[in-house]
Amino acid sequence: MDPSNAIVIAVFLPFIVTWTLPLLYKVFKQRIGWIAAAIAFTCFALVAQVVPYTMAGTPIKDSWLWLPSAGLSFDIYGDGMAVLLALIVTGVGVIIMSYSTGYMSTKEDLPRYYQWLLLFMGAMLGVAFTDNTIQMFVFWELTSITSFMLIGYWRERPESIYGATKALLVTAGGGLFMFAGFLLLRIASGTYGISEVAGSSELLANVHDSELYVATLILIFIGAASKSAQGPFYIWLPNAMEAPTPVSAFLHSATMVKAGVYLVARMHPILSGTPEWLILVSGTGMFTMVMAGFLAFRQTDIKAILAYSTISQLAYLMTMYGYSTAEHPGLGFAAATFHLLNHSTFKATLFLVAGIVAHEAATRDIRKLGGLRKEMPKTFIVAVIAAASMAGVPPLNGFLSKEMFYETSLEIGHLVGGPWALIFPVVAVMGGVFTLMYSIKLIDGIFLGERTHDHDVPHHVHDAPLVMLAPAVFLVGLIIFFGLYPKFPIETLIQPAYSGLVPGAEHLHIKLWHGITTPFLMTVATFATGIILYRFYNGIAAWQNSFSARFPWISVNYYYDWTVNNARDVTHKISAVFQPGPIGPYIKASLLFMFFLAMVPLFYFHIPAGSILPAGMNFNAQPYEIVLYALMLVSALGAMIIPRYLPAVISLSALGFLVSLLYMYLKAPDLAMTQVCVETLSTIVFILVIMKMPQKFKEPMPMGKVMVNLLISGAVGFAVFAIMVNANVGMLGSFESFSQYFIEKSMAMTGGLNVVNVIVVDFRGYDTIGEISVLSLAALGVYNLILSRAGGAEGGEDE
Amino acid sequence: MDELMYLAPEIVVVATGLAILLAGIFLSPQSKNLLGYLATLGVLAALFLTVKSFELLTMQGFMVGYSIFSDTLNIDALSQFFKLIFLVVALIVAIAAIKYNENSDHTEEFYALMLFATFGMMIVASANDLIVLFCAFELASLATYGLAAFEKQNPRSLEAGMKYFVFGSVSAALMLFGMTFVYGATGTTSIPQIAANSGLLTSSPIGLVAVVLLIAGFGFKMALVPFHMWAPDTYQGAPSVVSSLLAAGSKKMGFVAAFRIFIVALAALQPDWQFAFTILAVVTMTFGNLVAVSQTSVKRMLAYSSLAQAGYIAMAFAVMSPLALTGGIMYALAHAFMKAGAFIAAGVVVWMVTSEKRGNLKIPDHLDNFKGLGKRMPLTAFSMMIFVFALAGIPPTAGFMAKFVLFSSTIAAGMTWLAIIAILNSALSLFYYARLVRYMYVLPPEGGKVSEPFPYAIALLVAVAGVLAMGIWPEPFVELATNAAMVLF
Repeated sequence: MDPSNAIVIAVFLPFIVTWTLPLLYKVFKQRIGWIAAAIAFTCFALVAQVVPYTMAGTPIKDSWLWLPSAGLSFDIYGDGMAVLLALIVTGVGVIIMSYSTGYMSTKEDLPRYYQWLLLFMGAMLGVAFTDNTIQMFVFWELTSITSFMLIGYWRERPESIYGATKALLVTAGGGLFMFAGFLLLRIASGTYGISEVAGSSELLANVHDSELYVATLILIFIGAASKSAQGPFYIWLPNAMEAPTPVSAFLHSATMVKAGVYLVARMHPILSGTPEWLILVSGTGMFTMVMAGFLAFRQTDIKAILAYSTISQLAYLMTMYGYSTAEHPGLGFAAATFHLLNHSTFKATLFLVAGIVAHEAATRDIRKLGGLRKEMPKTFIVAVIAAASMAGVPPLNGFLSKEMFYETSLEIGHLVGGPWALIFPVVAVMGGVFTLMYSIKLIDGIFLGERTHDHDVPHHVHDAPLVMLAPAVFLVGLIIFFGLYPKFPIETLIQPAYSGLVPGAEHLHIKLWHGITTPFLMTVATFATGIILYRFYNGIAAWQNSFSARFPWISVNYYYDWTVNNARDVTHKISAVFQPGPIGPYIKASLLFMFFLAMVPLFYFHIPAGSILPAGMNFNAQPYEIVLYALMLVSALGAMIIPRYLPAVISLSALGFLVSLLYMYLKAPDLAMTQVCVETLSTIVFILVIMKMPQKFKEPMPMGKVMVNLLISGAVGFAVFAIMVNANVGMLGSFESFSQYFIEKSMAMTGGLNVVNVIVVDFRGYDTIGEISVLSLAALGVYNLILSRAGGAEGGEDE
Repeated sequence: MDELMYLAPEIVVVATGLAILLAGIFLSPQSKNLLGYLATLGVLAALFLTVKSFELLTMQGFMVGYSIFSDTLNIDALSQFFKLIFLVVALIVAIAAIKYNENSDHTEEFYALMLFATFGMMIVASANDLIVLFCAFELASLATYGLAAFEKQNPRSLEAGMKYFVFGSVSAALMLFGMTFVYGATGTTSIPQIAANSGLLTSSPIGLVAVVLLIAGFGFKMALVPFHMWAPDTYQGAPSVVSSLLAAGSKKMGFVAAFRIFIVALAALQPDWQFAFTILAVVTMTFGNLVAVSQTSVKRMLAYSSLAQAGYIAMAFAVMSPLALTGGIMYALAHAFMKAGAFIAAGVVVWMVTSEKRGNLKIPDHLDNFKGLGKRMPLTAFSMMIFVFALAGIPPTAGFMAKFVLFSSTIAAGMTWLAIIAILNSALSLFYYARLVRYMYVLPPEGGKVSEPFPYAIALLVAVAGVLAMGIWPEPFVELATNAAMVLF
């Protein structure tokens, strides 16, 4: 099959099949898991077809129109790195879905479970094969949502609700920061394409020289760190362990958390090679590696230990991808990529073991477990090999990549120079020591020692059923195979990924034994220190517990919880102040706001003059006018003061009629006529309505409130006054009269002698129709009101 | 007659409204259920005619619109795009309201008011004259006042209508006041001629006062902080189908009017209103998102989220590049789908709670009533999840695409700080949207499975289809929005 088609089908097949699962469930019942596993295997086979191309150094690139007007297309890019991640996703997917058929009870809502698993797998494949940042963001957020649904799969448990929400907020929120970073990257580079920027020295120079470089790097890294649980964002991963164990194995150790690391690898050719990159990526990685490894000690739940271990191992990857200088941009790249593959094998195995133990022994608490090696010998062997690989014991694959880690740590330390020549290797060894210690603890706590007789643990524990053991055994086979014969994964997967993203990558030679070198001595030191320190393991854990009880504010979780718990209260206070409910305060606030807003331009324009009144105003008024104004004032006051509705309304309409008199005085008879009509109608309506209401204002207003209201209405009145006197300034002069036009045209165009008639029925015929209908409709309304008053019972039914 | 042809969608809407009003007099409450289907058909026909009208425009090239009735109405890409928005919302509401009005004696009143409101909004989209714009604005407003208070037995609904009415009247007065000054200074009410004379507005403080008054007048409709106070109370108290119409439709009327008046007519005062809108956008989105966090009533939460969304759309005024306007216009359509759907979904839950008479009856849209909705009403819960993720801007939804165009144009215009604020706001909004999804999908259900009434299900599916179509295949929508934005330049 054409490789680009294979990729597209692999990405979209899970999305399509997932909708049919509820139907398939009706046929296949609990065997639905095998269908899902078959889909995952199909995707695996499709992706595997691309391997020959990446090995040959010819990545698959294809593009379909998506949103051309915004410069966006649907781009796929299948290089070594993408294929590596996609094979991990689909391969582990097959294993997890087969394992789930044994792990999940048949009473569960199985279609929903596999639906979300498949959706997740499709989203991860989308992340792997994407070639533009926006498409990356699309699939990225999809993985967050599917992870949210899977963590919260067991909805009865409050912990899983807490964990699901936390994971969504941190990872999807971090994704939004990444989105902002992508937008900045687009400004700096001029394109959304990823390989396009990486492949063009001109665009790369644009990015590196841009003043936005640091902001872009930080924002994108926040996205990666939140997904891969690095730095302060680690907090979501331990709580995500509430998911069913296969989900934890799949999403939260082998694949989804790798997305952040994968993003860092993808962005490596674009953003790496600067001190900022080294400080941010490696610095965060090294800090997280040591901190998470150390914090693993106080955990008592197997899955919690594994969670912290995952955080710490992901930090290894971050640290190595961060090892980058201007001359050697891809220093840690190969080591990181190899470890990424290895971590997926041994960590998934350990999670599967955790699932088996929880399934058979009914608890995951290592304080209650112990001595299970006799009852579960097969599981014991599997667990020991996986844990040994994690701890870096030869000849397993974990040993190889850890040696490479030590080696690159020495090199980067040497390149940076100064005290750093020592700091880098020492921190790396510290990480290795902690890893070794909790690896021993896992085996010791579950399988070694004496069998405890806790009432939670069943009297007799069985070994794992075949359906759950076989996937774990398969992974262990890979661990040993990759360890003994590293040439195979290196040549098919790691070298293509490395050469694809690091220009001038050398050929990798990885051997189990290459003499007594400094990295080997570091490994020896790691084992010696780890085994000695393991004697104090429980002491350190107890100290950690008492320390965190004394200083709760040291934990990032403290701030997360504080924010989440207080968010509602604080915002509730805000809304109580700004949204009290009654309409009075709303109107007052709006009016006051309008007052200030309207006064600003007036002041702004008149600052030079020193007064907001325009110069050259005259206050000459004729006696008639003054009388009119006085009467208007009186009636306005009357409408306000009179404590009964009816007289108040009459006073208000008196004001209206006085205004129409003013119009007449100002020689606007048509306006006056309209005003009289409207005033009459509205007075009638007003009175008819008011007659039905109690005639007195009910509540007496306190004096303070009256004063406030007076102040506000005074301010508004003043604002209107100020606006009106200023309005004269910019206005056009009076218009030429239209009368001559009508007089000339009436005879010529219509043959009518009476100009007024001609205007009413010809020139403004439509207007007249409109006026007639408005008036008659209003009259109908009044008639109805009168009728409802007279009819009483009939009209009153709606009240 | 040619001129009437261009108004065919509007004529169909009004004719349907009148027909329904008349038919209602003669029908019994049971047979009035038919009126809902009639309204849906009418809206569909108008929708079809509007889509057809794009063809007419394409033939002429999009830049020129048609100016009809002595230049008082414009038929161009912008007006037709917004008519599309209003009709889509009307369609969703009309379908959902078939169930809402089931066996009611007031069905014809509901549909007539709804269709008249839609008609008013459509005319606003086309208006090329201040007087026409104002009249149409008021037509839509008056009809929606009545709709907000439609449940006469429900004090919350009455309160909603009352607040909406009082605020609406004040805002109408301010708007008219502002228009008066524009007319006084430029001597015309025709928008293109105001634009030609708008230099006159810059010479006196009155131009600025007019801008302030107009921003306030439209700001009420757009529900921009601090003119938003009516919105949460009204959206919460009004029947869900009406809230859907108000938030998804009538709010956009404010925007299209503001587009025409500020960007076209008052172009000369651009620095002033651009500054004002920048501040309003930031304040509105931040306030809306912050306060939404504390809400336990889902409709109220959606109302505040609506504020925030209006803040995002208002960014188009702040940035004022062609791409930003495209983003803003596209956001208006995206928001129509998401918000109309979300209010309908809330309405379905209200229906379930009131018909089952269990759960929190006092606040039927309380978060607690959404517990385990994923199990109880899978379709409603799934749609609601799509809507809120879309509102948060999570891909692959309409909300994401609109935000993408809008935010990237903001950065391209050099206003990176504004884009960062908007993105931080999106992150903040995720918090309360995620809570709703958590209630629906993670918390255990309290009650058995309920199947959604057919009309509600169809309405939800229409909205979901729109949200996903815009998110997955945005090209045609972006193209339409680009053409609409070009009208303004």
